[in-house]
Amino acid sequence: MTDEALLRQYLLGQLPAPDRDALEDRLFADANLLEQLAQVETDLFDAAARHQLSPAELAAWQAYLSAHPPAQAFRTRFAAAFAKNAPPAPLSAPLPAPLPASPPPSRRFAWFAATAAALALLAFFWWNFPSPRPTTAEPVVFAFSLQPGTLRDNSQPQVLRLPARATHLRLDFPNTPTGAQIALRHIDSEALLWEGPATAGIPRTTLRPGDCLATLRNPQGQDLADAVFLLSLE
Amino acid sequence: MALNDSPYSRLLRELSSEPDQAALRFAQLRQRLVYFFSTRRLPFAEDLADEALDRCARRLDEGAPLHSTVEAFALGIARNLERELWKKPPTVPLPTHAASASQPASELSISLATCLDHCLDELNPAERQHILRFYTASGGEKIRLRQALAAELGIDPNALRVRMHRLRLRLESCVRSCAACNQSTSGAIQ
Repeated sequence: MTDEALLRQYLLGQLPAPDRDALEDRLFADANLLEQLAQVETDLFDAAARHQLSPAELAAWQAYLSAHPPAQAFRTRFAAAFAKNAPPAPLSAPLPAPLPASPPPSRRFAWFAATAAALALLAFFWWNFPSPRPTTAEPVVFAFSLQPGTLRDNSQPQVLRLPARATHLRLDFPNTPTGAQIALRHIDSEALLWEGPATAGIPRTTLRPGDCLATLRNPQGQDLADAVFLLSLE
Repeated sequence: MALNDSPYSRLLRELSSEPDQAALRFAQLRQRLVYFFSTRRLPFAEDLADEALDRCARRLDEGAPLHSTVEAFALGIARNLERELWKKPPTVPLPTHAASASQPASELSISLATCLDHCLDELNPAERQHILRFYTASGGEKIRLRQALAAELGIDPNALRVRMHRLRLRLESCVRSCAACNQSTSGAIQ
């Protein structure tokens, strides 16, 4: 992986902890890498302003921006203004002449080829990026085994990537007693995302990407265990 | 109290014996720490970076041995601070954004766009053309344009990227000052 790709994943919080730590060791020793990181950050501002990030990347980017909102808000607005106001870049090649009302056969072929290419592209996206909404009414539950502990271990963070097809998430604590409940909180916003039976599936629509805290409680409402994990929605 | 008389004096001395160089490396160190906390999605990353720097300065002032560079020392302190935060999340006051609250978003974008035009005009024509060419295209066209621009200027693509990014930061700084100036002027009129 190139440094640029690595730095992009670093900013989006997508690097596994060992890789992140190794990158930070280099980052704290190399001024050129720091400058390159700033460039990748600027590229991400532009990509977000031009709607060029995937939904998962956008969510990760917004989570990154939330870490220091006042400074980043300006850069976000600047990137938007830059994308909107900057005129198209001058091209070195001359612009093609306007098409005649009735294109000659060679142009017609070009049109046909362009249309076919567009349809092929559409089919590609349709096939590879299906709608997150399932085609059947059946829920698709994704089960995730949690390691209890509120202290996120740098060497082995729990990262939960919820697949695009999953409609529900089930969090499995070890040794869960019958009738136990789970409360799921979003750490950054401190919002309570969901609360309910430990065996139930948590609807995808209630989830939010970022660091989350799951608390297992016995039927009497006493806390039994906590687990912190980083949630990303694919 | 000047930085030279403060607990920061040893930290700065360890960074460099040249004051200008020490100031530059200090700013870079702070930037690294802001990235460190931002990428962990910890709120108020800049405040946490300052806290890490304070701790670093205090430890050095107290005579802590430096086995490697100041940067590596600060990274260790940042990692410890992060562990503490995961054990006990801090309670932090909500920030107040008086500017955004008092000025509608549409007005802010208009003033930003006007400032951008103004600051682009402040650049010399070649710089203006280069930055627009460098940052406006996307996808394959972007790669082609950047390669063409690097070839025209006779520099390698990495050097071009560094040069354009510095220009971009200059432009951002100009727009920031201009927008702040507009805001205070409109505030004074009201």
